[in-house]
Amino acid sequence: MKHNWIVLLATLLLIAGVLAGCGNSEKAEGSKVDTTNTQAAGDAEASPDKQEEQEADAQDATDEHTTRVIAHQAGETQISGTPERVVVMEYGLLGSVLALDVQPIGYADDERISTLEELGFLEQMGDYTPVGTRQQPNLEVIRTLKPDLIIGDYARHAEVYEQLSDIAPTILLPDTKATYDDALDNHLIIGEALGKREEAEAALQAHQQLLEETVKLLPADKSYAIVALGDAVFNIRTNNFFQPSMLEGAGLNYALIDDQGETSIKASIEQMLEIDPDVMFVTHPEQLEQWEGDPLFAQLKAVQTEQVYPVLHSKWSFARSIPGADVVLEELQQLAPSIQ
Amino acid sequence: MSGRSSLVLGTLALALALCGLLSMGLGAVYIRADDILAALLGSGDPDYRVILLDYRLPRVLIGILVGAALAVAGVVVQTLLRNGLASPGTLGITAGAGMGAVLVVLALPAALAPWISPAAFVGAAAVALAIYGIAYKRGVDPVRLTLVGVALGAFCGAGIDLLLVKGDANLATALVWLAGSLWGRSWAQWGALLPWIALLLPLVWYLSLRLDVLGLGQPIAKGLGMAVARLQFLLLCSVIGLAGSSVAAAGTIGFVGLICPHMAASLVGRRHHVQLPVAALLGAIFVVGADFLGRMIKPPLELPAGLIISAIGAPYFIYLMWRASKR
Amino acid sequence: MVKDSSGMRRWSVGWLAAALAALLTGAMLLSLRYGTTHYSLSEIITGLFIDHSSREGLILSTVRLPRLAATVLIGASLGVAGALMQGVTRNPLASPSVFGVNAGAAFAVVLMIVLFPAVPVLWRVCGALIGAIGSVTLVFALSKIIRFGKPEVKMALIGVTMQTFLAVGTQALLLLNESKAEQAMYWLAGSVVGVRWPAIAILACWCAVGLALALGLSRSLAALSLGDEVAASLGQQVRRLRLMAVCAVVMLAGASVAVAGPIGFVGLMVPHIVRYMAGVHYRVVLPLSGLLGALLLTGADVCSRAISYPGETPVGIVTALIGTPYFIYLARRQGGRMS
Repeated sequence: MKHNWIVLLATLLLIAGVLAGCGNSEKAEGSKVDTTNTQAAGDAEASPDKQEEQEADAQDATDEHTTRVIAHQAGETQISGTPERVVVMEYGLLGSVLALDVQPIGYADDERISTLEELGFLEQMGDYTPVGTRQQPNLEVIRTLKPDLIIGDYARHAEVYEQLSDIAPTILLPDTKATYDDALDNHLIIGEALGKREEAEAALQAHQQLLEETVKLLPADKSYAIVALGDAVFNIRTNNFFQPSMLEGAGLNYALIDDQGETSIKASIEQMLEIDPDVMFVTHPEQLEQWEGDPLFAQLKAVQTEQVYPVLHSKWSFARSIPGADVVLEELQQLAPSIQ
Repeated sequence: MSGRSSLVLGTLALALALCGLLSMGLGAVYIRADDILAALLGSGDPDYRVILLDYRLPRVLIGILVGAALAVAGVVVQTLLRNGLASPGTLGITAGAGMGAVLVVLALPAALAPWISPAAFVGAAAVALAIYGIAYKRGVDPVRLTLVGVALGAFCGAGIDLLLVKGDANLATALVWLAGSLWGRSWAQWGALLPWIALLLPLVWYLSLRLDVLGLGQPIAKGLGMAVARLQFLLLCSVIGLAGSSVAAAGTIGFVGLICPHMAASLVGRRHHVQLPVAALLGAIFVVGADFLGRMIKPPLELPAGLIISAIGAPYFIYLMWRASKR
Repeated sequence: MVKDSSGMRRWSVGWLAAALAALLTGAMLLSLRYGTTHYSLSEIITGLFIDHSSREGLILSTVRLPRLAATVLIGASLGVAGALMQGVTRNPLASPSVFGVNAGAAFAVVLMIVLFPAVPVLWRVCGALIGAIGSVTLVFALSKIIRFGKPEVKMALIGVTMQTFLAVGTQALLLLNESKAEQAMYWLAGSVVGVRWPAIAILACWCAVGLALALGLSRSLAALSLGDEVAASLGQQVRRLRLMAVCAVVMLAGASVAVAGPIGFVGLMVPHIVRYMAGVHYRVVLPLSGLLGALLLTGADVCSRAISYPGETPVGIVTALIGTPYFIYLARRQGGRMS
């Protein structure tokens, strides 16, 4: 018993030592990131590209005195000029920002870029500084990036709204809990905040048009469902979920209507047979293999008429934004000829 | 207080100070020592000043309070229930707080998101009081209290699972909260936490002699003329205050309340007069150290402190038992 | 007096067993009957025995019957495993999860869901089984090395610590793989939806061996419950007995968690109820725990189809929601002396 506290102390010292070591090796890396940051900041302030400078000047000329008040879910925020150093903290919001031709300087990428790659965001992003996870973005890093606009998800980041506002004007919008209507609003609000209201409105119009065209291409007498496939349970999205609510609003016949506000239900194959949509879009298609020999799965109308379409979970379940919706619509247009 | 106890206390205080300093000095953004000094003296980069004083310092201080409170609550619960496997979680505090918080995160409208902390505290207090109320039957028998606690805890656990299974958006936010984390905590939480801890820690320490007696069993305590039922209720309320406010501030950090009492007992024995402060220091070191590690393992990622505590604490605890068995 | 009461007891145990069996049969019929569509008795008989190829036949024989088989087997296993655990550890709070059975299986399954999302169900079952057995072996090995306090308490402490450690691993995996969390959470809550025959076959093999072992041990266990010294003086090889009982627990609980995920409360609660109704003799408690466990889980599974209709609620949640009030009632009624 006597040596216990010595062991404890030794452990602590060891940990401290290891970390000091990490800290030192980190120091090199950290300071590197730091210098690039300050360089980037310096670039933006002092010696940017000529083109950029001209653009910025031109915009400054129009926007210099336009201070606008943006109303969003966490309150109202004053933004003046055109934000150039934007930090974004959720996929759907990132989609809107990128679609308005703004490259964020910081994004909460969870240290994994595969989802960004799947969504096609990575190539549009250019260089950005990762700011940690979406659940717990790193405030220290965000502050040293010296952003002039922070866009976050209300459900995740409302707790730190004040701390974020202290760093830069912050707008919090619904994303993880976003409905289709929310996404339409989000796009306009982000456009307004970025000083690109007209572009945002144009994008919305283009989106409406795309939606109408797409729905026209799809047979109206068929019922549709989006299903996240599991090995035992079907996670069927209801009409309240983002993508279904968009399609249903445009006149498509969605197979699962829920009036209690549930966004998805977990059902067995029995329940699936009861709903029996004519056309199924299946996310997590890797699970299809397990269902192939199942005699009841084979009885589904969509399976019998070969109307099961494997799609990407990231696109058909995340991407809750107007550009994200456009991606889904474009994919639907490509699939349309084979949907009967 | 014997020389050994003072030595242990001094060493632990030193270790805590070291953890605190490391935690202040290092983070995802590297600040050089001279910049730290400059920032603390009021000159230098204002961003660094904010990072040091508004981000890192409150986290360290909140970590100290939370750790100390949970460890002390653990000691009290283990004495109260006379069960070495008990922890504040046994009285339903963890499950109740989790239920309250998960309800806010997943089931209620998004507009209520800032109310996680109060909801957690209310949940913790409500479930703990319900357990006490249900277990009360001409006095509170420790075994009955434990059984009811475990049962209601499981009930709340099932409720949490139900919410987690039904609500798929925001799952990760709820999971982070359930793991326990000091991310984004600021002076506001410190202000909400301090009064509870500053009031209740001294109170419990003041009661340490009575805790010693209670630890001998209710008949003896009664025989010595103690008002056992009243003392039990007072202690239960202290535990609710300590653990409930901690959990509301930092999420359901578990394990500290389970192992710190054992570690303290193996260091200085089971006299509450010394066991309580030693356990408090151990708890503080655990939480501050875990938060620090969680920030430094892979910056800029922030891993929840609760995860780190269990990941390091569990093997260490087993090692301690192994050491103890060798003599 | 003694003879009288034991005579009474044997008589009432017979009735109790008959009543439980009758209730179980009823619950089994309900389980076949209710679902998305309700079938009449004649439809059930036709579907199961005469016409397999109709939709009713397929639903009954490939969905509802395997699900029923799973709930009966798992319920019985968990009930018996819980009774064994409480006997071996002499702790009324012990359940198979104290050894880290559930935590080990959960960690293995979540790891598989994250790393190999497309892996077939059967592999997942095997992985869970390995996780469960591995974790128990570790707990057992550690408690062999460590001498600390009373053996029961020591084992429980090590088990709880192990659980915490594995649970952290599971949580971390979920946190860092948010898109997989939805699927994993459902499994983690304990569910028998979509169980197929191959998994049942594995389950049945393990359960058969485990149940046989448990019943074989029941007489010796009664001696063990009197304390190690008494048991030793009665000629029992205490350590071997304990080891065999733990093996039976791992087989029963491990196979259950592997197929259906962690289902709590059955193992904890059923033995208490049985002892309350039928006394403390292990030769009675073990089989009745099996019956009652099967009944409880089958009933809970029927309820789980209705709670959030048309969705399916994991049955593990339902058992806890149903079980708690009764358990609390027992805890109050017996004044805390539950053993």
